Amino acid sequence: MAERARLAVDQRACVASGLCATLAPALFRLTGDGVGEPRSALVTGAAEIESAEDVAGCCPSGAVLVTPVLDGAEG
Amino acid sequence: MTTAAPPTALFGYDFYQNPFPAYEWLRENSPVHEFAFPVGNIRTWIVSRFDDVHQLLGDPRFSSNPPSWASQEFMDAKMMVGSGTAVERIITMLDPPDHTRIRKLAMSAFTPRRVAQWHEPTHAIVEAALDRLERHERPDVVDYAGVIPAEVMGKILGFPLDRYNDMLHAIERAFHTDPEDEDATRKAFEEIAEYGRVLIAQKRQEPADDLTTALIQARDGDDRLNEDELVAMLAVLIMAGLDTTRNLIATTVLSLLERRDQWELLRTRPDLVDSAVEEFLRFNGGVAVGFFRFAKEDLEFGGVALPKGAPVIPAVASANRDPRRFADPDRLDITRTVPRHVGLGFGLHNCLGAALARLEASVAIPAIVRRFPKMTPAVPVDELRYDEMWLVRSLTSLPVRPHGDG
Repeated sequence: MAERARLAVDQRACVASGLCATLAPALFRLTGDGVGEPRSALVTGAAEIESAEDVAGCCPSGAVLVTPVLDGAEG
Repeated sequence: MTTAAPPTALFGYDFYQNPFPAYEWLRENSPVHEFAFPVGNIRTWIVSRFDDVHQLLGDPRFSSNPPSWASQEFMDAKMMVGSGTAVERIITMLDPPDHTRIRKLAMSAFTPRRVAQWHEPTHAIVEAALDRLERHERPDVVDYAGVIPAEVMGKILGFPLDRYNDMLHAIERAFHTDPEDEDATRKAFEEIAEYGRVLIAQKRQEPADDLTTALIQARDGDDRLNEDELVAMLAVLIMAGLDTTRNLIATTVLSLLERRDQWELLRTRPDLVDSAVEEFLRFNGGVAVGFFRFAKEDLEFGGVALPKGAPVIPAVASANRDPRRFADPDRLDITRTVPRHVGLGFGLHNCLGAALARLEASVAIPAIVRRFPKMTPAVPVDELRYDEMWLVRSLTSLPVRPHGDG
């Protein structure tokens, strides 16, 4: 079980629904134009990763990407 | 000197025919306005400026879940949408973590990537609907606009929505602000929930590769939602999938018939379709106001003190006409590219079917303009009427002459 994950928002796919920053304000914020962006490119711990995956699953534009960083794979 | 009340009584007959003068009054004079909501006659606030609506929809101090947060007065008046039926559990009124768990189950079917697969079927549905419109004895754009979301949603859910007209009538009664009798609203919601139950029972017998089967699997296989939530999910997909899009399409066609320059621009410039659809959502978005939000504590919003439990209405149609946000907001301009509107909501409960609504509008509206370039209304437009429904702005009918007067 990965303890860390990369977090990204595809800025071209984002439709500025504001869901990410409302559901998980600790992980996401909105730019001036309302587009979502991660507060940090890396999330750590099961709770944070689950929260990020909840946002990815609820985002209306499929713009939130959570990619597990497998232990030992970091370089 | 300003007057003390809006030019038309909020959510009364005249308001529904043209709410925009009242919205303008609210934005100028009382942007967080207290009034008595006509159903239940309870203390309600309506928020009308863009920045305030945007703030309200994303504000964690508010919830759309009545059982947890609404005032006793609101609950006692049975003002909760779907009160006393399975519709009480629709996702629109849930807080996290229930909201999150259920939204994830349906969201994957409605992302832009997944919705793209419905592009060709939607074109075929629209062309067939245009054929029928042309042959019809009394061609009506509201009928055309209704059949498109019904058939597209039917394909996604995995069965023909044969009873979509019954459902549209039920939705009209469910959100009516002058109900026939005290129990009319509950009965209408119950009819929608019952149709959901029937469709679920059928699909349990004949599973297939469709959204209903996937939701049933999440219920029966993985226990990720309970039976009430499953029924509520079907009900909300039927409700939100039909009437909103019908109104977006029908009201926009009317707006274009009244503005031949925009009609011609859309007809001759297919490259403008993306900005045009955003402008249609801003100008005539299917939803007039969002669901009630409730103050989770005594708080101040827009300079107004709100007691805990206060019901607050986000007037998205007003926000989308706010001159503080949009230049010349009452002008329909399909070349407008900025700024973003709230026609599909904002925050936690932003429209789950947004990509599908955009697809349906982007096919159905340009197609009718191209097929019938000389279309005219068959009645004087000032004779057209809107239903007395608080949630959506719904034309009762739009009779047309597809080939114009000639």
